[in-house]
Amino acid sequence: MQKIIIFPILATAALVMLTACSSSSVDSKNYPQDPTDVQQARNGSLVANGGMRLFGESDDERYAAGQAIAVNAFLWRASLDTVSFMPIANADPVGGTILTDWYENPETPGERFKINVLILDKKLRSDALKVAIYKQTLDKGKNWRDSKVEPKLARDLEDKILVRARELKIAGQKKTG
Amino acid sequence: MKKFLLGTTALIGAGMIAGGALAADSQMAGSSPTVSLGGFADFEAGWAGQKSAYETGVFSRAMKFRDYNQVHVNVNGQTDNGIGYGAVLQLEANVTPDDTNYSTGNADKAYIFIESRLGRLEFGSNTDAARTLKVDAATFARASGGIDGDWYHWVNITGVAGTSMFIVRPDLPTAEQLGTTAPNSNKITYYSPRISGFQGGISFTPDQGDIGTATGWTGDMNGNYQNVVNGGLNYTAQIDKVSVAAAATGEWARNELSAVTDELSAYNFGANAGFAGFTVGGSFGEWNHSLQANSGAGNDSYYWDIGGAYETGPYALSVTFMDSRFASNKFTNVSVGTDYKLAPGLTPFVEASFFELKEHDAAGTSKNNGSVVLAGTQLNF
Repeated sequence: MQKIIIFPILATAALVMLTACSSSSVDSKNYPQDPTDVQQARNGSLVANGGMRLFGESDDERYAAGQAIAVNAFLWRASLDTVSFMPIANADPVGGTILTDWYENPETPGERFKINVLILDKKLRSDALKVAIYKQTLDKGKNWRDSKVEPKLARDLEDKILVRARELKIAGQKKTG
Repeated sequence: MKKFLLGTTALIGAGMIAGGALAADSQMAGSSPTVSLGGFADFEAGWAGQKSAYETGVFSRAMKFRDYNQVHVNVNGQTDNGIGYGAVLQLEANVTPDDTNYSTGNADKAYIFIESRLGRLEFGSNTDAARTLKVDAATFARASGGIDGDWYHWVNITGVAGTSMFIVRPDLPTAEQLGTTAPNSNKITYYSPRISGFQGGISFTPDQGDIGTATGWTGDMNGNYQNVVNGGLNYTAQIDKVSVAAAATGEWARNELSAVTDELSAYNFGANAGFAGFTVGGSFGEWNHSLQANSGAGNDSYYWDIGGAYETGPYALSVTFMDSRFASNKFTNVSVGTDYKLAPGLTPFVEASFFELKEHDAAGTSKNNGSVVLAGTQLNF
């Protein structure tokens, strides 16, 4: 009789504790499933995003909701995340442009950089992102002079933004199971 | 230039981490529920050879085709303060009644869940924590599941008289009784978050005979296990290039007719290790006198399993072996399977299982041995 009473009480207490503690990153895939379901999941799925969505917002729609973003929201957020260590001179979510101000890294005095990020599409694709990096060096007269920048730097930065955008999208998909 | 690269990379990395945290916090709070539709459609062609004395009824034909299908409805939502909630409905989509899980209704599993950073609660007809947390050779078996696969549908595993019991799957008693109400009986389960590689879980089932709606209630004196507690502790880690998983699980309960059937008392220890596409592992499970008559006689029941698998690109191969004893009935099975990911969600496979069932009762000892070859495909959507 005691066991009959105790477990529902404990379950109720656990439910109260669970709901009292919010989380910004609950993820059903962190919890175990029946081994048969795990085997099925291991083989992948014909339909992405955990099945065909019947009701509710898509990942992109939900992510962009309330943020007034006219370009791909994941690329937008990933770009801000990536270049935010520099001062932002202008950020236009409708036009899809992020323009930083000149930034001189304290560890490398005499050099400063400026980054322009252009997001060209609402879809998360590699050709929807363009990054331009500008460099100036200080000459002997303490004047800033434009210097050549290796194209590889801009490509590396684009890759970092695309990887970050992908992480954000996957994180969003996991939240929706 | 190098200094810039290093400096920029470091600064970009720091910026990404900080930005990432902000992104996560602002991302999904208070999203409306989504409802997704998925499932699977599996087909198998099987040929079984076994002793002629056991080839009775449906087993009188060696070659048979089988299909098995489900439609899954998944509901997921999040409250404004970040509490996750939802439901899982695994609906039957077969032409005839389910041959794997007990189901006289429309679903195999049906439960709701709530989760936060303190863990996850599940309520309804679902698998218990001991089965979901276990680690054994079946964890990495390929094709239809090796020693925990579909071979048994083609084999007479209840003996000549149809009344013998064997342990034919690497599971504790509750989960091993596929086809009964026990595995997916109505229960409440709690899982902890994974902390430093460890994750625990515990399930409580008032009556293993009760499943689904009130029409699935069975009352108090039907010989089912009652007030069942089962659960376990699972550990996973990545050490350099080696992945490690281990678990300890158990279950305990008294029978409604305790004078007739012995108590449920079983536990399992298992471990796996993976490196460069290879995975090896196994487990040992002790059933004690679970499911046996409460006469004090009879051997303890147990099982053990071992196996290995290799995966490279879309190809995978596994070999798994199991040995068990339930009272005086012995069973062994070795299963070799391979599958190929033809496309996302489309995985054809071939599997061969070689088994031996040795039953010992008042009439004496009789043996059924043979093989099952399966070829089929799993289609997930």
